Amino acid sequence: MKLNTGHKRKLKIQYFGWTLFLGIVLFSYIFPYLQPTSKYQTNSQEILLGPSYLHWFGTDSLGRDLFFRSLLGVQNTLQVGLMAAIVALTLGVLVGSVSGMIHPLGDSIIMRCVDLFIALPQLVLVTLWTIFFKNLFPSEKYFYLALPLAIGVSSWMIYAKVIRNSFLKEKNLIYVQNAKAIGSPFFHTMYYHIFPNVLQISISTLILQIPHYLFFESFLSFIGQGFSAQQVSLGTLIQNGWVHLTFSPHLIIFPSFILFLLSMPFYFIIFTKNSDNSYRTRR
Amino acid sequence: MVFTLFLLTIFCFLLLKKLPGGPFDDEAIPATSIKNQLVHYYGLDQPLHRQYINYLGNLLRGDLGFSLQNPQYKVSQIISKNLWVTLFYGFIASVLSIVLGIFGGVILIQLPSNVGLISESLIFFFLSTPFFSWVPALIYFFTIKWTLFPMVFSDKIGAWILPLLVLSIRPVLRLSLLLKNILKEVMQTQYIQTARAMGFSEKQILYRWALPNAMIPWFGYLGPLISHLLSGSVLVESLFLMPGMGRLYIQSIMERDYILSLAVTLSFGIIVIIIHYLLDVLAFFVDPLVSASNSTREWW
Repeated sequence: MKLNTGHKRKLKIQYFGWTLFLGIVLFSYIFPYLQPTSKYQTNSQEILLGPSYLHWFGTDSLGRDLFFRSLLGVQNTLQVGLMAAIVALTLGVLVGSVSGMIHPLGDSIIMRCVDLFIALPQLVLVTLWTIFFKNLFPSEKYFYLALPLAIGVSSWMIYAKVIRNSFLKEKNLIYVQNAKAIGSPFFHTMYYHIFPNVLQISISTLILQIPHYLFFESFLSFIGQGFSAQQVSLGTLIQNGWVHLTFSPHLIIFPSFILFLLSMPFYFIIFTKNSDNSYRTRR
Repeated sequence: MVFTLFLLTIFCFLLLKKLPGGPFDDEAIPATSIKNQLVHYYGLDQPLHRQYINYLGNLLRGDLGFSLQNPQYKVSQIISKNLWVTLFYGFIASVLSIVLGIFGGVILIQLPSNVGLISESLIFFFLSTPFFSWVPALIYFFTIKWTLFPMVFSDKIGAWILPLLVLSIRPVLRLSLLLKNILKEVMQTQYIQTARAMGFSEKQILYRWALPNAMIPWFGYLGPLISHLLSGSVLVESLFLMPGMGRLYIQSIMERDYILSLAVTLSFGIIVIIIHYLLDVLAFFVDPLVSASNSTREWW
């Protein structure tokens, strides 16, 4: 396939995004192992130090190195964000495809339910679902499932709408009619014939949404409903930094900058898609 | 709309009934008989559907019950005390976003193509970064380093500026990017080509014909704007300690006061659903070709 220069440049930007993302992930998983564990320990001699050669991001109120805590936070936050994306996409695909394929009456009933969840502010929804799922998984073992489930369940609606609209468009095309004419079953038509054609648009919506999931995790930890204070995530670090905002601003500036870095690759990846595509109605 | 409102009451009621932690958990009540009396007083021992019907009946009469944590206050009193702050600055923020969004869109479409591309990608970049990645730095520099604005909300005018800025900067950028994209499409339609052929200047074409026509699809995005502003108010109010609905909600969630949380969630939902409906009706008057159902609705 021959590519023109504009396309090549866009591909380069996309590869840059992927490289950045993989680089951050690998770095956050490997780098902590190369360092002495004393960096995580509390150290009463080095409380609230500013950035220096020894402590790149400074130290927090218990004398722990902020750089390493940020790396651990990246691990947890990314896990939550990606798992939430999977949950949201799965739910959205199920609801959206069924809603697009069934009778218009059922479609409109499902869409009224979706409208309900659109109407509630997303931060309110995510808080409610977090408390609900934390109640559902009280044991420590499954506790890490609660956050991704809550975030996913409160943000599946965008996929449902996007996929429903694509299904409505696709289901009248000739290949679907042909498949139906030769007796393809309902679910087979849906997921074997139509779904691959709407996958592209849902994936690009997904990549655009992942920074929001990272933000939801930070928000939940910030108001004290997400990760507990013992666990490290970018949200708990930001929450901790908020307490010390007046005298040690590095505690909040650095974790929020890391959050910014973490959401940047997704921007570069999505940049290849037409930028107005993500904001326009897909009728 | 009515069906969605009905679903909303069911959803809020069921979810908040299932939330953990009773209202009397942290209190040191020795005898279970006293606790049982309290539970009976608040009607928490009845079957679920019975409680729901009671709740709905009270809701229609405007009575949302008493707060579980502060039994001396009615929930409706607490909400009406807090609602005006959110509504007032939400109104200012939405007017600001709409006006600046139009200005931004008009400016963006007139930029030369290379500058336009750069500014557009910067805006898109900014929109895709989470709230927490720039707000802390903003607050640090504006309130602590340079002490331009007070950090905690008060009655002074200066205290309103930073929350309004934080709340409306994203909607402004998003709306202007949207208007620019719509304008770009409109500028290529045939009637604009005709106007060009007749020799009108680009500016004249833009303001006289393109902008009014671009406003019609743009109008449909105002509903999501309201949801976005309400959602943002939850965060902004808890950051700046403003006495509004969002802060009330976070407080009630932390205190496990689920009558209050239910009421706040419900009022958020009711506000958004009614505003969406009104905007749909308005969209019908603005552009009769749009059916009054849900074709103009879009996600935020």
